Amino acid sequence: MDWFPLWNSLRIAAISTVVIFITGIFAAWRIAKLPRFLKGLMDVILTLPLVLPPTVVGFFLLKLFGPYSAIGGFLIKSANIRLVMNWYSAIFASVVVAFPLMYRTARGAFESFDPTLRFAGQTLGIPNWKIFWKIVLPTCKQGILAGTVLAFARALGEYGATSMISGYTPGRTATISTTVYHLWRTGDDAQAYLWVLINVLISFVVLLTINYLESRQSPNQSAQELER
Amino acid sequence: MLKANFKKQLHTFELDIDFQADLEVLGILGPSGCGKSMTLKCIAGIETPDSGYIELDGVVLYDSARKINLSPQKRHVGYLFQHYALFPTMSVEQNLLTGIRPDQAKDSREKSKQVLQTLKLEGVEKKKPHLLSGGQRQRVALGRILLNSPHILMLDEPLSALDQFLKWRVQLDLLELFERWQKTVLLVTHNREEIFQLCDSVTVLTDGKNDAKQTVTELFSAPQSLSAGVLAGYRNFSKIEIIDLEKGLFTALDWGVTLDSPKLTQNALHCGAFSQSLKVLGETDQETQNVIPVACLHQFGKMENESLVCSTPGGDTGNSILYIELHKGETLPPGKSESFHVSIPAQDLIFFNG
Amino acid sequence: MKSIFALLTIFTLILSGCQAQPAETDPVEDVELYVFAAASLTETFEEIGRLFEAANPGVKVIFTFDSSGTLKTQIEEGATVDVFVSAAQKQINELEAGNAANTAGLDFVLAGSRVNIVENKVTLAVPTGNPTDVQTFADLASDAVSVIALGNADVPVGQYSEELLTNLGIWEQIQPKVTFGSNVKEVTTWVSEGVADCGIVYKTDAFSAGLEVVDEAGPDLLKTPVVYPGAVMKTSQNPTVAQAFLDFLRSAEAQAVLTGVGFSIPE
Repeated sequence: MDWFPLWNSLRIAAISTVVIFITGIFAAWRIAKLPRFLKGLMDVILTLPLVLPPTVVGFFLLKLFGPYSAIGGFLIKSANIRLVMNWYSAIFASVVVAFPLMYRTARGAFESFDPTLRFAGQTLGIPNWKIFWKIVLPTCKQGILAGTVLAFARALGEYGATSMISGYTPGRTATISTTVYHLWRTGDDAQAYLWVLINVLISFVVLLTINYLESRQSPNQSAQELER
Repeated sequence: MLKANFKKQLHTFELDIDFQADLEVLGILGPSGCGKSMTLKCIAGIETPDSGYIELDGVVLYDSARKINLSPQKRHVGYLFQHYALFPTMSVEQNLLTGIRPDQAKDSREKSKQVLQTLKLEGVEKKKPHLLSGGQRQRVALGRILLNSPHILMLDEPLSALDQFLKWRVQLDLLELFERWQKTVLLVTHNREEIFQLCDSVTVLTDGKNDAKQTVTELFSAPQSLSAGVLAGYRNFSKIEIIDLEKGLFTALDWGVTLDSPKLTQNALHCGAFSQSLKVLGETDQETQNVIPVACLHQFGKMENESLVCSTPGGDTGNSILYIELHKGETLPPGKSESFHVSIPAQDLIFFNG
Repeated sequence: MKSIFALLTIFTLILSGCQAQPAETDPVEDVELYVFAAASLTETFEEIGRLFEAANPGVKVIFTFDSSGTLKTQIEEGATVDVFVSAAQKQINELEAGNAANTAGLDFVLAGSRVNIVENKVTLAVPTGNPTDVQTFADLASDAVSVIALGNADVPVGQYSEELLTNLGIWEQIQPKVTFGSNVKEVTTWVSEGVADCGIVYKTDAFSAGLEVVDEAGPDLLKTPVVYPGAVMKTSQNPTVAQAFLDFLRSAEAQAVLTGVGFSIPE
């Protein structure tokens, strides 16, 4: 049995989740502080990949990173690096489609974060970055963990955009989802179901881990919630 | 010494602040939504005024002319928030330690231990805020601020979040703290009791503008405006018409009687009296000065807190109604809508030019 | 208000009076004709459908375009369908009673209606400028070519690709360079975006995607001609109209549309 899809999917999902974690939190934090109209506008733009069919997202990614694009073409000419049709191309796809999940969940967590905690930190002389790390993030831990799980799950299951930008080459760019689809379409149901099962098992393990990590913290509440 | 002179346009009104405070406990008294908290936030640097000048102990915190606007981190103001803003994921000890600035990090453990002792918080060091009582949380918040060595202490409605029966204890604690503190304190509240109990001086904030600073006694005996009077606890007001300024004679139009008082001023337009100043006259009382015939509309309260709502010859609505708080041992007129008389001692009448 | 109402009523009456007109063919009550056709026939069939409707008032042609395999499955599952035009003999074979390929014993094809509609050529398409200078199918084996786009085994053109490349003797060799698309659109997108150095698609796909074609598979490489058969389904509610449509597909008018996009007409 060819185990390549398993290892490929895992590395793609893992890297994508890390990228999404950093960019999602950063974007959510910055945007939560914007005035209402700008905030809404950014929300719509950054949530767009969620409502577009993944194949369409993949198509746009090709336009953005393919050989004919400014970025893609430049990299091919100058460094002979091809951004598409490689295993790591799938990272672009996964990041784009899963980003909105992390972003929205983190935004929600930051929105419900009690601003007086931040003010208190400021008046005590704590630098803003430290307030973010030591006060905001731990307080919003649950929301952020939830977002991470969602993003990982979405990245792992990503098919449409991945297929477009990475293609399907067994042993080189195949992921669990493109393999499942290919096997299912060509009639190899048994193998397809086997991969589905593997996928479910992975998600199970990830979820259990996150739940365990979550339960180790006592309930976190904002200062105002404490008063109720 | 704090110098605060700034303006900020808010939703429905403009905040126009101008006062100074030096080594005193200054209360800012105003109704909810009048901009009290915003004033503190501007001084702390959490919000920025539209224009003006703020200086603390010689350091310019904000100057719109010279485009100076120090970050909150640099201002060294101790701000006690209404709900204390303790960091929920940290223990009491960790919360306290966040108060210590890096340049004073020496002996931080020692210092925090001392604060724990002084504020009677021993035993709860490892607990998280949500497990503490309201009073404990406030003390932790105060401790955190004290460890921060701020140049001014600002408290936002410090007693409002507490249960009634805790308030008096906390009041005592705060008084002790102020005595030890020896620097300027700003206290913002809508509750005149807190002003009375805790403050040396007070400025009244209504519709965004603050009145001139007065001592607390001055506020209660001579409020500068009707709204200040309301905040100070006066409930009885009447429009007046001066009859004879020299004799202090005037007609209280809303109450429908003629009264006299040596405190009458030339520009007075309204008079006022505390509910406690009105004396119920029994049948045998000989009082002749400033007597008002009234009829009782409602009677409420029990035991030591009985109050009456009465109509006057001027009517039974609006300012024509008199609120009377009965004193201990005072005779109660029998039954509702009974007519009787009350009198106001001449020196208990106050006058407003507006 | 009343006058507007009156006006509307008069207007409607006049309009309804105008309807009854003699039809060119036998008057047909409103017929909805369900045609399942291979995805590669989309643009041409939609135009042919309009022509058919114009010539047959009262008939509305409702198309479903998808991969032939999916359509065949839907027919099997009992979908409402009058005419089926597949991109390969395989699917109709599997639905025809008595056919050797029909292992499930299905019986959906109306006897005598089966006919070949068009023929498609399997071509080698390249991106604009042909960066790796691919000229023939055999060039796929060269080192200059690093990414080849093919349809997967479920897509008819994918099966033909495998056949012709096996006949060329390079199928196994090129595997590491192949990316399999699950439908033709994926394959043409990879080629048009320059993501693949070349791709094997039908002549009609290349035409509609605006791709440059460098080679065409002749009978020496492809034993099975790519013929699109069509048939009336036994379950049809309107077999007469269905047959009329099939006949129309073979008319000069329809064939002009078809050849216009690269199809050929089989004998």
